[in-house]
Amino acid sequence: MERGSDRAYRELFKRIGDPAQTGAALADLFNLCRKDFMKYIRAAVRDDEAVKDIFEDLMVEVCLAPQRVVVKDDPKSWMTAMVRNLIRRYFRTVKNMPTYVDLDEYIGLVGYMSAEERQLYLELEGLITDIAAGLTPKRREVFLLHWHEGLPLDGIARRLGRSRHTVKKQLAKAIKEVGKAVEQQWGVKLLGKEDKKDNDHDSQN
Amino acid sequence: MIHRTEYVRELLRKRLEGALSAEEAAMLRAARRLHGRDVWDRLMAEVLEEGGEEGRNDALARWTPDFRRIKQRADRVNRFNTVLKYMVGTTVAAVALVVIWFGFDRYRSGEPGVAGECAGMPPGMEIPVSEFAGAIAYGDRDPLPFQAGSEGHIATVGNLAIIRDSSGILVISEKRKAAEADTAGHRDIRITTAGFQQCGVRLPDGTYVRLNASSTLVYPLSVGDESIHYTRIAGEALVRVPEKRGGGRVIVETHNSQLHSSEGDFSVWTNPWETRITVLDGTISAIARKGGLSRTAGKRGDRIRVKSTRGVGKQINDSLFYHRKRNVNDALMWTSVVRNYRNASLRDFVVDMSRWYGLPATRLHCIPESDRVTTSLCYRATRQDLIAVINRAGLQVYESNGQYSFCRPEDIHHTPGVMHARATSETESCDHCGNYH
Repeated sequence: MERGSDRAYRELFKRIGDPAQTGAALADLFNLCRKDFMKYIRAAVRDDEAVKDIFEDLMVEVCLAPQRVVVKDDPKSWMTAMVRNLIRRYFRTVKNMPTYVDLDEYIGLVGYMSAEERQLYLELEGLITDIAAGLTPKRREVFLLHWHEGLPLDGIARRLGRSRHTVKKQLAKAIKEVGKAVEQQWGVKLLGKEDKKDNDHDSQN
Repeated sequence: MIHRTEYVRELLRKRLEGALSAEEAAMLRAARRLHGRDVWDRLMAEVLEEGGEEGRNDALARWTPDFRRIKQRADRVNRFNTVLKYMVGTTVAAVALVVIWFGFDRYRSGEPGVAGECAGMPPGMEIPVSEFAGAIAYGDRDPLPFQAGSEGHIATVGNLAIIRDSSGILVISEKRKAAEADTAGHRDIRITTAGFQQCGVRLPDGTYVRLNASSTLVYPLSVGDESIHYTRIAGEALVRVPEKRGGGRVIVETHNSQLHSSEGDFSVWTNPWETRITVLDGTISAIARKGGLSRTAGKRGDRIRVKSTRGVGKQINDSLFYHRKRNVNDALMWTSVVRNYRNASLRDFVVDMSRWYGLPATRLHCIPESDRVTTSLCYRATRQDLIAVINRAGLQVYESNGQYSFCRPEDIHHTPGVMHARATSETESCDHCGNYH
């Protein structure tokens, strides 16, 4: 079986929906999930018993509605989101993590930003917003809803009255265009800053 | 760069190794936002799993969940969800049945003229403008009645044209600037409604007045200050004043007070001894005629009441009361096709109804103040329907010479005597027995 692909997950969900194969399919699903998510969960949750609980809860969630999951475009993303929700639930209920806290920051996968990192991030954010202004109107619309409001594809599609497929394509193109422009302009910007720093240093000397 | 997932993976790897520079940390954060939650989670999981299967030879690596127990748990949750769904469905159905039964029971109990539906209209609907009717008078002329459904030019008074537009509203508009000659012979235009009539009037400054039955609107013709627009109202009305700029305002006069507004909606209820104002929107100032009392109200539901009483030596004193009430429905009930009274004062109910039916109701002091009424009455309910409601509330109605009284014949000599719409002079003693009623 191909490891961790959407197809592999879809096949397993189909089998779980068949009462005659549920037990065996659950075992296969668990093995696949262990390959795909064990490290992810363990990176966040240190307690082995809690890891076991999260895995069991994940299996229960799948058993509750296999037919609903099997029709999804990307079952693996659904599984990833479910794992993430279960981790978040664990931290909220057991570790009293406040609801407003970003999970990635809480478990140290992204980390809190230093003052320097924050400054750079703000500059990068400004650059991306400037670049987005130069996109074609349709791509700009989609990109800004994604970038500023963090809307998922479905949300953007609903807001703009376009199909999910169209929005997905437009967003992918916009991200590519913005990424390339960042590649070109960010280095130049940083170099400019370095030059300025050197000049300041020279003039002080 | 950050649009390529391989680059983001590389940043993630560095992050896990703790080898991320400040610039790369900023890039990683921007990449997380750029790619969105789904892609980010996937990349994160992939990077974390790159080292292959968990290699630690510990209990967790060998652990396998009890799949039968998982299946049982899932079945239990599914059963619970199904039961919950049925319970919620059953509860909703039961509540709906109770509501329907309650409504049917009320309908079957046969309150006359009472509605679910009233004249083919839903209960919350306003009386249609197309049914508006009334009469216009000016100068020495006999009143010109205008009937429901009529349309077009009605009269020209001085520089003012009065027309009834296609929606049924009377529109008074200025044909030209007013001159002294325009007011000669007719000082004002009077619009009156009889029982069962309501009408809507748009004044030249844009103010809209909706008159209830048995009410009068007087629009004085003047050539004074153009920024101030006077109107007099007796009875009951809903007034909508559009925004006035540059200090302009509308002044509505009642028997005992003046109401000033430069923008606002309010209802006004008046008789010779009392004015009640309910603010619906905007700001209204009420000034009592006597005593220099005034109050400004600017919140929906604010109520101002100016009450006049005759004191010692027949001198009239005004009192001004203010209070807040959230619900404004009772002040606007007369605009609806169905008037719903819930535990309302029977005396107030009789006053409202005597206005709507145009009935000269006398001796209201014989209605006990504590008596209450709960009913819904369609605006087209007959007089017999109304009397039946009053009787059911425990009050006897006596009719004599076309007038309705609420006193027993043996109490008939007590004063106050004839009172239209609750004109009480509360401190006046009864001529017959000397008591205050």
